[in-house]
Order: sequence, then structure tokens, then C-alpha cells
Amino acid sequence: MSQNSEKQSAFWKNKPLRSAVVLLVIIVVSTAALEAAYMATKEIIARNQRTKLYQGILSVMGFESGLDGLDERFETRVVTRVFPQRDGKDFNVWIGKDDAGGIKGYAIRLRGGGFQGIVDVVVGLTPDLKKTTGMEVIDSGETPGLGDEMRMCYDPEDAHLCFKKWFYDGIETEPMVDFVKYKDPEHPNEYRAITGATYTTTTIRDFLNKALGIVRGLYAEGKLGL
Amino acid sequence: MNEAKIQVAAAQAPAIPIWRKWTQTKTFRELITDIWNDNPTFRMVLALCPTMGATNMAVNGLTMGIATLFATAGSSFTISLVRTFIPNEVRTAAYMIVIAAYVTVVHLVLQAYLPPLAQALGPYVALIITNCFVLGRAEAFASKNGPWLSLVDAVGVGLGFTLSLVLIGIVREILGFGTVFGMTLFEGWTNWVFMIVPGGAFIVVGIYVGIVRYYSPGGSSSET
Repeated sequence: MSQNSEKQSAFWKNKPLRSAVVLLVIIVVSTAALEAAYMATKEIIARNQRTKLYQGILSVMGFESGLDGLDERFETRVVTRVFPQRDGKDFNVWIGKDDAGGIKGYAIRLRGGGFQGIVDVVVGLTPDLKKTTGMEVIDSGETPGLGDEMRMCYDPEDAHLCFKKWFYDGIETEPMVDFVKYKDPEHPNEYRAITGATYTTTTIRDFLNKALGIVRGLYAEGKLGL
Repeated sequence: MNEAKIQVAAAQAPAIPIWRKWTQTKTFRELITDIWNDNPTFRMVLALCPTMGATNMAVNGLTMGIATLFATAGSSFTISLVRTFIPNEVRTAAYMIVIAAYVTVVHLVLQAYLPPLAQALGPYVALIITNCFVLGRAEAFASKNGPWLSLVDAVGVGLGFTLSLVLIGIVREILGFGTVFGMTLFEGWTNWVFMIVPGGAFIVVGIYVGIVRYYSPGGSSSET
């Protein structure tokens, strides 16, 4: 047997070494394939996410949110304001313009960690910031059947079967937004919690109240005009 | 003389269509066995998590089934190609890496080209990685057979899974929304909300399993 084939035979017989090398090769090839797939799809995915955001913002402001002419409608109807925060993140406020050129309403984005995954929603507000005008889920990584129920709308006319309808019906934001469990709201600043998903419901409430604090400050400073 | 007679008889015999010849092959028999006898949902009662969660509408079930079919077929084919190189001690880890790669590609493609369906399916697409019959086919079949037969086996099981998801989805969508594949069947239908949530899926799956077992009690080919 030649020296080369002896070395190959020794390698093949060394199980730990062979296992490590084979796994490494499989990992490298799989990673390369995934990278190729990611590069081929990342722009399309980013465009889809932008479309979803635009649709959510237009919907909570009461505008038509269909796909036809979406970009043009968004450019015409919505102004984007970006406010850097102390934590280094940007706080975006979208201002909707009515037919007379005045302010139709605002939209703010609430984004952070929920119980299991990401919670990313857009909430609409009236021009005086005292009431909500809608809510749309941009992304959700919560448990299907529990926290993810915030996305579902089994009956658009019934808030018990369509969580976002609480926000479309108008929740007062003062003194602060809150929720109740296992019963219908008794006060105008309340909404009913998602059954079995208190953590997700709490996350939305806390994000919304925190964002409202920031928006009220900007409003008082006169930074939310057109 | 006898040989001549045989040749004449063969020449005079009616030609068998190609498709009919194919139905007599081992490949075809394997395919049919996998679609029906080894049906993951109705026979082996496997992969119930995506079955419950991704069949509230027929189109969701169809998409989930096709995604699983692609992941199963791709991973089985690949694992079969490299089966002789993978040491026994690390075969499960190697199979999981391959399966995860295919599933991630499926997830990216869905997010890019079918975003509403990707959102409707939620985390269930990524959870195909944990789907027991995907790893099970790799372990039980692809690791022991050639690439072509492994591909056929995986396609068969995937088609069976897709068929079961679509059948479940059709029932749930009709009762839950009064539609099928988005087309309205009954005007003014009152939605059976229970059919839209996973609880309703349990009932539908149970009924299907009962019907299949009643009319075809033979069990799966992998049962001993």
C-alpha cells in the first residue's frame, strides 16, 4: 500500500477525526447554501416588510390600505418624522394628512420582545393624542393560539373575536391605557386582554404607554406639526 | 421454431402504454405506498402540531404541505447521496443540519414570494425542522437506499402529508368561514369559530383517522 493510501486509511479509521471533518464539511456547505438563499431573497423580504408597514400605518389612520398605488398613497398622505432617542434608537412618528392639508392623525410603532418572540405593532392616534384610531400587527413571534391571537380577526364586527377592534373602536389614552381580564372593559381607557396571553397584552400596554409619553413630549414641544 | 413463434406473438401483442408500464414499477408502488399506507397524519398519526396549527384554511394546509414536501424530498435526496460518508455516531446531527438548511431556504422563499401565507403559517414553517417524519424518513429510508428511491419515498410521504393537510383544511375552512380556497360557498354563513382554532382541528383529524382506520384497517407498512 502506498504512503498516501496508508494516510487516507488511517484518517478513515480515526472515527472522531472523521466525524468532525464530515460534520464540518456539511456545516460549511449548508451555510453557503443558506447564504446564497438569503442574498437572493433579502431585498424582496425587506420590500415586503416595508409594504406591510405602509399598509399598517395607512390602515390605522383610516386611509385605504390596498396594494394598488400603495407607495404613492403613502408618499401623498403620510409624513415621516424621526426623533433620535437617548438609547440610540430612533423613534418614528408618522403624521397623516387629511384632504384639507391638516393633520388627520398620528401613527407610532411599538416594537420589542414579547413572551416568546417579537411584538411589532403600529397604533394610530387622534390629532390630540387622546384616543386610539386602530392597531395593526406588523410582525409577531408570539405563541400561536395565545399571544399570536393579537393578529387574528375571526369576526371584524366583534372585538372579542378580533383583538385589534378594541383599538379601532377607540381607547382613551388618558391617564394611561390599561386592560382588564376575563370581562369587558368598564372604563374608556381599557381594553380586554387576550385570553391566556396576559404577558403579550401587558407588553402592548406597556409599550403603548411608554410611546405615548414620548409622543406627548414631542407634541408639547411643537415637533409634530406638518 | 418456438422462438420464432414467441417473437411473432410478441410483435402481435397490443402495446402497453408507457404510463401503464410505469404503474407496474417498484418506483410507482413505493410512491403509492408512501402516499397512503405510510400517510403521516392518518396512518402514522405523526406531525400533529403543524396539522393542527396550519390547516385553518385549505390554502394554508396546501402551502404547509408543499413546504414540507420540498424539505423532506431535498433532505432525503441529499442525505442519501452522502450516506456512505457520514459516520454512524454523528448521523443524527448531520441529518438535522441538512434538514434545517432546506427548511430555512423554504422559509426564506415563502417570506419573499408568498408573504401573506408565510405570515399565516407563522412559526410552523420553521418547525418543520422538528417534524418527526422528516428525520424519520432520513433515518429509516434515505440512509439505507439510493438517491432516486429516497427521493421517491420522500415525495410520496410529502404528497401524503399534503393531501391530509388539504383534506383537513377544506373541512375546517368550510365550517369555519363558509369558503373553500377563498371561494365563498354559502352566503351569510355563520362562522363556526371552534373550527378555526386548533381545538376544532383535533375533532376533524380524529374523524379522518377513524374513517381511514375503519375502511382500511391494515395499518402503515412500517408498523410491526
